[in-house]
Amino acid sequence: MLEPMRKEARIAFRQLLIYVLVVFVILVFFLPVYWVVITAFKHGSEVFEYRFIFKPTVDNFKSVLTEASFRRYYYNSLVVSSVSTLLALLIGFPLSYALIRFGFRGRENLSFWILSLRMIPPIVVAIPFFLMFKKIGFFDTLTGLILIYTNFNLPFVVWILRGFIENVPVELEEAAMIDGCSRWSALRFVTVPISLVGIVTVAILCFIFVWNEFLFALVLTGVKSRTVTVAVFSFMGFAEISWGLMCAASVLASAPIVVFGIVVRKQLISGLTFGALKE
Amino acid sequence: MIRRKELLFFLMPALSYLVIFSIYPTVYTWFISFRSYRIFENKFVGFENYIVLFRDSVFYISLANTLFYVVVAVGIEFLLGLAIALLFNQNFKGKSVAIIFLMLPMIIPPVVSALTFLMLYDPTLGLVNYVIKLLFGFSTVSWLTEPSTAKWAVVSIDVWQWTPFVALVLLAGLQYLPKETLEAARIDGANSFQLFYRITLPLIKRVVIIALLFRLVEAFKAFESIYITTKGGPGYATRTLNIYSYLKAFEFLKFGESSAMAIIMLFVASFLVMILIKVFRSA
Repeated sequence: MLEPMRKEARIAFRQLLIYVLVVFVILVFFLPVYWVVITAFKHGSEVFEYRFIFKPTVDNFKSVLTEASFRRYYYNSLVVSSVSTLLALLIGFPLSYALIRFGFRGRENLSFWILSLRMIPPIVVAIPFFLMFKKIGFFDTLTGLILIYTNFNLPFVVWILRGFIENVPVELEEAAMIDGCSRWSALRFVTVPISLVGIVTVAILCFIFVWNEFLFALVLTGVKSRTVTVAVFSFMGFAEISWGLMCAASVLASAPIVVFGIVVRKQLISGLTFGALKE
Repeated sequence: MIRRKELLFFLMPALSYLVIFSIYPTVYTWFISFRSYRIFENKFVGFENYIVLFRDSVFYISLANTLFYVVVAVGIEFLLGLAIALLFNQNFKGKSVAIIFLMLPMIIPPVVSALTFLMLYDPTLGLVNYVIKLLFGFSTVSWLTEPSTAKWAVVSIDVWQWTPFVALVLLAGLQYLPKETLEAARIDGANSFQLFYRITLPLIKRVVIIALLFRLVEAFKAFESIYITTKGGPGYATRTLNIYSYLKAFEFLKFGESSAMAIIMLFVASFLVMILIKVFRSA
């Protein structure tokens, strides 16, 4: 009689312990985020009080959003992220396709060479880009940023798409081509639709990478083409940091990509490890 | 079989793009590293920039700081990440929601997480000092402006932001473990520790190496967490190679010396990437 009860109690205790630990882990990783969010809703002086209960205000958001420059930077980020993502997909897809479908020599080496390009420390290329862009007038332009971010995402696009294209049965493409499709229309009507989920996932991940990027944006932009991450940073004034405003700006800067991140959460890890781990 | 022309048509756009935007600038940096590239001066100086660096004590401090940052941050991330992965490998309700919360630090912009910690560590309004005061009753430390604590404070940002990544990578590895092998070993009388050390760990070895290498490569070029919170200070306490190279170029406008340092960084990164590719290939 006693034995099974003990066992049950042990299982219950174990389960309880798991919950306590999970809650603790979540608190540690979530509390800082939560603190930023509630600070964004605090009145100026309340920022200096350690209170979890207070009358929330949207004043900080209002003043961040009424500032024309912040809206402009937000718009810059949107444009730069989406255009460079689109470009990287357009240029990267054919290469990725060729790596999987065409049995040419050295394609394995080519793949790894492309992977290694992504690992170049940004500072190595930031210096020449800064000097060149100053010279040819691309400094502080959205075009300049888009060109660089397209390059930044290209290896990623090529690597991750490989996996998705590999999963499209080659017979389907061949059948389409026998039926009179050119390779391009076979791509367009067979391969792309079948791997669409993969392509969208890659696009979202690229968007997040570009949105979050800081070093290039800091080095290569002035006041015109500044992106939202640099704008958030610039809320650190010289004399005193306006924490409420900065937190509101941070929340606004994080909102779209947090939503995106949650959408692709299943693929996030395999994406961040360049497909070294398949889901 | 495939026509050469068609192949080129597929390869050329992306390859030429990568050559123009990755290879050309890298070569350009290499080229600048042999010149005294400053505002009013730009001439070939051979290895002088490298010699200046090797005589610069701050360079060695930065090297040591980089090593400290990378080893300590990735080390802690691995240990914590492993613990969290093992915890999340258990069955419990609401796991998928818990994972979303866990993922937040790695999704939000690194700028935002750096600013978050700037606020948390603030001596007057920071939550960290507040909690310490509540628990232990003693007064405030200025975490980011004391050389001894600043080192750890910047590491803690990396740890907070990327431990979830390590945890989720390891968790993915744990989920591939063959249940039967574990069962069999348990029946044969292995205890939990033996099970973990003799079976689980060897089986997830590849995943562990991948997580560590990815973190090493990334931590090596960590920028926001340091630049925003300390700018490499106080003194040189948190100055890593990446930060020093940035400051040399964009604050002191010594592009030649900065490029030389960037080229040295490129060699270190290439070495890490070579190992990474070896691991990839073994799959």
